[in-house]
Amino acid sequence: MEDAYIIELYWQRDESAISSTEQKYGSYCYQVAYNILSDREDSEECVSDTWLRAWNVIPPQKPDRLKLFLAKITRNLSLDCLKTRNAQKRGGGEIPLILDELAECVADTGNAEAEFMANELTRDVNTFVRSLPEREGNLFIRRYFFCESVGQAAWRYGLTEGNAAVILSRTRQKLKCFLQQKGYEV
Amino acid sequence: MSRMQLLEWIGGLDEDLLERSELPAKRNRPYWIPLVAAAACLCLICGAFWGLGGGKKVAMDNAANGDAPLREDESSLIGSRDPMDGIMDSDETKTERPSAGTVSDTCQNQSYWAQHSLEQADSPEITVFFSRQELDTWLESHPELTGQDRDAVLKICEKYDASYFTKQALLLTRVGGANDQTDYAKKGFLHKVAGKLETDWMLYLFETEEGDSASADGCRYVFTEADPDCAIAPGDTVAVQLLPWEETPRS
Repeated sequence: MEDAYIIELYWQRDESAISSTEQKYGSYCYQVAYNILSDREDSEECVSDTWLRAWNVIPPQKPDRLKLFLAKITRNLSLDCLKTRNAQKRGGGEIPLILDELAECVADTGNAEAEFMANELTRDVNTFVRSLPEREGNLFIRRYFFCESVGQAAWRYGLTEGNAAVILSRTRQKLKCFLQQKGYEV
Repeated sequence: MSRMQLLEWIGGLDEDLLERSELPAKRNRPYWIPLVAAAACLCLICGAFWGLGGGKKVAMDNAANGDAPLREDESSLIGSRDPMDGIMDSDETKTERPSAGTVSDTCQNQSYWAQHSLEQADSPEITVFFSRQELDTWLESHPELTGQDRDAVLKICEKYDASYFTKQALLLTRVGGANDQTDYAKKGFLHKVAGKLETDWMLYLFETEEGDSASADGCRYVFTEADPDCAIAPGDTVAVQLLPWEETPRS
């Protein structure tokens, strides 16, 4: 079923939109959630919440790319679930490793200013990724957006795991320099 | 700014960037190049194996099975003794002198090949060796065998044609266990004497009924005619093989 038709069902408030979405993107969203949570039940719960969130935001939104729109929702819900689930700051799966890697880029000092500047920082991150060569940018996204393992991301682009790890390390250094230039406290 | 915040903000990446990362990667090289490289390596390995010994082993196996042609550049084994000397006195007996013979490579399991030509019979009317006809001829022993302590089986494996080896086994002749006290033994017939092989071998062909092992002088010969329609005639060249005795059970 075409995405446009599914979105049209959402706009018509037809509940079959949810089953159609689940049928088409259920496993994809589950994989996104599982990369973050590494837990079957939590992942399934996040995917179910994704359908509900999509039902609530469409309309008024009308996403151009339904798949990635759902991936974003699932990712955010999974991170929220992770924070809720773990009083300790470490989660399961790839997240501890990813957080350790991102520590190279930022000082771990949460503050209100950073929350306030969230939109601006998101825009800057977009600018940073666009400035990267395509392969480095894609690796960065697979690793830090979709939370895939280094091996998975490397396989996707025909690289060895070691090569991908080196590319990601250099990208993190670039990100650190970029954020410093932008005046962020890192 | 915390790591978790950075991770969350990365979640705000534009969808076109996310979509770009979803696309399959462009391969730097065609997919078939690794396959071709793997096939080439496999060919090299097989070639090296064949060159280093696989081929030789197969050839030796074939030779042991009687499938390999004999080398013709070996030293001649022309017999020099009179085969009639004190041995054959029957009217039915025809004696053939070896006109030429060669010894081939030594094979596995200490078996030895010899190519032996039977001279034309003295009597022109003799065109084939009839049943119960006795032929004796001499094969000079191979130097490597002389003095070895072993019984042996002498096997006529196939009739040699000028252009090819026939695949028919003419006669499977077991010669062994000879009585040292017989005249045959004294004439250097293939046997075990005092633990040593004599220097010359004498080959007897008896075309008798299958399983007939009788012999007037106590020596024992057993013949198996594998193909009754295929007989040895004077002038034929035969391939003979000396095998370890253990390979064939005594009958």
